[in-house]
Amino acid sequence: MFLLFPVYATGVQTGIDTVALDSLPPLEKMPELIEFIPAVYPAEALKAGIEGSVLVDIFVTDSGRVDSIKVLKGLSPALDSAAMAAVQRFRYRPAMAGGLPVPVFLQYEYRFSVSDEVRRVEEYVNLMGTLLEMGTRAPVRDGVIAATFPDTASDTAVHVPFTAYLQRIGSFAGQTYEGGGIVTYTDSLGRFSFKSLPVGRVLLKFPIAGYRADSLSDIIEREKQREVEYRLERLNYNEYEIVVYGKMEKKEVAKSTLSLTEVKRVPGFSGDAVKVVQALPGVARASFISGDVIVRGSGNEDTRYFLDGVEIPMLFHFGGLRSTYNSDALSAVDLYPGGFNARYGGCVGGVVEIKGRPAKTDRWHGNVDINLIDASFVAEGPVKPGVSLMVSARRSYIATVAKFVIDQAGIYLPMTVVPYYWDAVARLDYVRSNNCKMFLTLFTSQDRMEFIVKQVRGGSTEVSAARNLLSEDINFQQAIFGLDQKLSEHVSHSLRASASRQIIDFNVFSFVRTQQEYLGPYIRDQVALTLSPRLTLFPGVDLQARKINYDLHILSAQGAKQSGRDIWFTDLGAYANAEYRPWKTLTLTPGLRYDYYAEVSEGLPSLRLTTRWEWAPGRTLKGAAGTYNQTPKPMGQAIDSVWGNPDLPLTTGRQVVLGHEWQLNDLISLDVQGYYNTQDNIPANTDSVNPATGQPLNFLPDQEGRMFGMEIMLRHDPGEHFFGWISYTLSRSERRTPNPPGNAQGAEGIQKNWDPNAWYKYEKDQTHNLQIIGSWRLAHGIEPGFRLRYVTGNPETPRLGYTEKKYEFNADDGRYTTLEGQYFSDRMGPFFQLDARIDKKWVFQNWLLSAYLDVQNTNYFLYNSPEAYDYGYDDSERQVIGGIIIPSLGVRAEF
Amino acid sequence: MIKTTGLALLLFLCGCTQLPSRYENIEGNKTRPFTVVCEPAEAAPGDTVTVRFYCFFPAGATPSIHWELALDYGIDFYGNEIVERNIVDLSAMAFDDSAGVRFKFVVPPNTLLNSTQLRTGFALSAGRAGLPPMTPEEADAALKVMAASHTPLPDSLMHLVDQFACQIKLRAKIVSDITLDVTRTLTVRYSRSFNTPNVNANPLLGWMGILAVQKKDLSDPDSVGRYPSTMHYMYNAANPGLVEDTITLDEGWSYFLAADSGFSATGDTLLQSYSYLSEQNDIPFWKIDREEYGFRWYYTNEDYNSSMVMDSLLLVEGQGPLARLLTPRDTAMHRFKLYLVTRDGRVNESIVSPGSAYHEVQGYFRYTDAYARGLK
Repeated sequence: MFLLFPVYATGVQTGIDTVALDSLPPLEKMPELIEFIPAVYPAEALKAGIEGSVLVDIFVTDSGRVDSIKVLKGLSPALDSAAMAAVQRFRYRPAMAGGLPVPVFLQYEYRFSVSDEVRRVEEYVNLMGTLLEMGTRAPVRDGVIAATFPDTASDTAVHVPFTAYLQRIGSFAGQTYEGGGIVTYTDSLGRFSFKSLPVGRVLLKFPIAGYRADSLSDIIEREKQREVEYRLERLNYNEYEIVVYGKMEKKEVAKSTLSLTEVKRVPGFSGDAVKVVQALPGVARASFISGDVIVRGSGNEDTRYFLDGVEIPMLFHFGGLRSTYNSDALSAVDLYPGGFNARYGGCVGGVVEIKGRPAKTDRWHGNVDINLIDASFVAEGPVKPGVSLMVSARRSYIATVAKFVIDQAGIYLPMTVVPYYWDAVARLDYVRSNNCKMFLTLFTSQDRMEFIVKQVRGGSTEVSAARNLLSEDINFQQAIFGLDQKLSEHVSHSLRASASRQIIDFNVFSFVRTQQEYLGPYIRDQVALTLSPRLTLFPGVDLQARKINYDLHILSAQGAKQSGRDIWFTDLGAYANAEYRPWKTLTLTPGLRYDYYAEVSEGLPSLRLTTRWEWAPGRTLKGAAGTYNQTPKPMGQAIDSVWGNPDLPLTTGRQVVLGHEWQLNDLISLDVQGYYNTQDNIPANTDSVNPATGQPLNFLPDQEGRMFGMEIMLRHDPGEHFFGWISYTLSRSERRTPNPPGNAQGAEGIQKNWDPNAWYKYEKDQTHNLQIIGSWRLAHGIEPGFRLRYVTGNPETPRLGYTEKKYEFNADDGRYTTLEGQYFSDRMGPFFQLDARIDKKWVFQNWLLSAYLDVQNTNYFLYNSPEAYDYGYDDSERQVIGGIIIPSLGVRAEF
Repeated sequence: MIKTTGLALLLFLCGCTQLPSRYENIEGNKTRPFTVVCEPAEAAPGDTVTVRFYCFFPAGATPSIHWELALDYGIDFYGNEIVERNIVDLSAMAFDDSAGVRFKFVVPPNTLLNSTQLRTGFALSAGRAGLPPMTPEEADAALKVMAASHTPLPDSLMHLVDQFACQIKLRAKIVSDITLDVTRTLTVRYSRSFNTPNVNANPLLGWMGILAVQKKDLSDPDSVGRYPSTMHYMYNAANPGLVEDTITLDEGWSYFLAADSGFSATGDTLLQSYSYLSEQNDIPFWKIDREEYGFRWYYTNEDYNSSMVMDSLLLVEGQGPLARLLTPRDTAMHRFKLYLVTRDGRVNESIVSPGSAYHEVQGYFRYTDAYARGLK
């Protein structure tokens, strides 16, 4: 700012028009500055931040020119000179006295201000770009980027003090001056920009939580706008959204939800998310590579498997080797071991529901996974706004690998082996609005296996001409349509409609051959009605109908038998759950359900109630009680006119669960549950004959079951470095039946000693089931983990040839007949297994590469856990058939 | 070496911890039954049946054998025994020798009427076969009269005779070095009385021996025909002069136990044909099938002693008419025995118990120098 101090002429001669003071008329008008000339701020002084005023005495002529200057108070010679040079060029409207312009002396203070200079810095973008996640290329949202400048003198165009410059540009919109640097943030797409950064080298830092602290330098050039793309390495690469166990709102009493991130790293499952439910409390140890999910001592057909709310034809390939739905395409796996509400029906055991996920929408992603068993890929991305697509496919090559190993070993096998499986999923998602989302999933799978054993002459040509063939071909196709919409503030609607077709064709050396076709729809339609803040109703229908056409040929002990039916199996269910919260910490969910089964022309209602009461922060008491029913099992066989009993009634069950949850801290929780379940009308083998037809009944509904136990789950949620759990189940599963079950009927000793009123152990009764799982996240992308299991051995009926050296030789075929002792009066040796897994991930700019080695049964040499016993030809000796060492080595690339 | 490693790997992966004793090996210190041969292979009510029991007893054993006969025996679809009763003590039967391994008994004339299984299944079988409805008593009475009077059977009743059948079960309770029951079923029906085509006869074995194939380490019996071979007969019913008891083992050859499969080189066969009731789309009709022979090989290494390693034993792979012989790895082993039980089987006429035949031979191994060198 310039300040003008007009001063009366003091009579000092100015040299041009000298006038005697006493003859001067009074000054009528002061001189007026009409042309200001700015001083040139000397660069050194400006850079040094020197500022202040120079006071000069000037003589303004009657023509308005500055005629002479004299410094009265200076700052520095350079600033004084600059001020004088500028003032010298000022133009005034002259002072007036007596009506005439007159010359005068003036004092003038010329002010030099650095901040005025800084204010002149222009605002323009000269560094812009995108911050992405290394490997996944996902945008880093709301990330901090700090720019610092190691060389403050590199930009010669910055004529003001550097700090003042940074402070100035730090005031520009979208960036701030912090700690000596400029800070900006990325937007939702990871985009960012810096304005007016000084030219030269800039050091960028990314102090973003969850990402590796990284820095890089870049060069800012004059008058150029630089566009960049930076990649940042995440500390942990979690493939998918994490559903955190224990944090989500819980409505069920006994529901376990697993996040995909953790389950894919649990040792012993080769990254298969669905199989991990076998490691949860309440689930019995299944047989070797079996996918059976046997919950709380129920039968292996008492549990149903759902995909997005509708039943899935087959959960596992080859009975348990790998889940049919690619784990990469899943979002969560839910296990309901019991006490579930009225949403589910048609089973007296438990429910496993796997949930697909929509495709990612930020860009196209892909991954390829190759291991010793199979190879798969997933591709997903946006198709157009609101529409996304995911496709995945997988194909096994077990036979090729096995043949290579066998050939290399020079081993002759008297058979040709051709097993393989494949599956594929395509899911299209459409987000019409926040209140309306829909998806269409197309899912197909095939298992095919052929063992051609050259020297075997199997059963009868009446069953199949291929008497040396063991074959299985199971394939299905399923389409699922899903619609979720919020109709109003109080009403939401969820629809799942599915159509599926399954073909089963197998031949067991011409002893058994069957061709089955399952065809039918499945509809689940549910409405949520919020009647008040405390009460929500969930009425719905759960309709399944399957037309089953089967043709069964069996070489029975009485010759070849043929049977076939074309029959509708249904589970037409209607239900309503009411979620009532009388106060915030208490939830009561009563439910009513009715299921009708056309195959037995019978329907039954079910009543259920679940409660949860958070009696203290982080501490919840819970309980459930309910009735359940299902069609007679084994499904189909049980009511077959030849092999079963068409008059069997529904099997019924009752379940009671009590439990307590304790959230010990943010990561650790403890869940304890006790249960008592009973079942009635379980089909049991019989040698009775229908008096009306003279035909064997094969099955009678005269078996009862009771199961009780306690489950403990101590869990450490996925933290920065660790996740794991300790699961322990103490249980008992028993059956009571008038006749010895199955093949025990022929055992003379068992028949004689059979007590129809006694409770006998069930075949999967496992008193203790302890599992400890841990996985660590170490530096350099290395993640080791282990899984340790201890399970009581399965019940075993002793063979008298082994225990008492009593033998029986059947001269009809040259084989020894197994003589059995007291039914399930013995147990196999305890099952102990230690699995180990190590993952290593490499992060590249545009993709991720990971390798894993998953070794099951590492304890083999120390203790070979009995899966079964292989008895010698006369049962006099036996050897343990144990869990074999299964190494699974694989690599995975994600793009 | 590669093969050994591969085998070890396979066993390792299969979780096997020890090798159980082998079915084929007659170890010398343990009672091992081979078969029970009934002559005739099926019986009509009132027939006399000769029973021969073939069994290996350890030297010095004094077995006690008690024979019983269950006249009512039956199984269900699933193979579970549903009845074994009406037990007859056969101790009173006249044994032909003191060891009790050969005796005769008479099938009671009312055996068919005492069969639970026949009663539950006969009405259905008869109906499916298109026969007029009749009770078992009516059928038995009619057939008994016709058999006694040697009345020729009308074709319309031919199938009824074969279908009107049951099984009885012989049981030998043996107490020796072990406690062992040996069971054998026998089909009872009137077919023999009328000599229907379905009457089962015991297998006829023409020959057995060792086939030498000029191919090293040949495992696949199906490939035998592709290489030069020499048959060493150890039993030959038609040409006893061809029998030799010494087999010379040579390097570069593979050896197979071989037996008469029932087919001749020209395709002719002694295997019996039989008719049975088939059905398609619930429509029953009669079909013809041929029985099959099953083979059970057993061996004894008579020179074996504990100083010999395991693989010096004679080993056999397979149980067909051609079974691979894994030749001795110790040339100190010379004397051996082979036992062969042949059974016929009718998978589509399950009511018919298999006929059986038994043959036992002794032999002597000799080794060429090349073979001995190959072992090293």
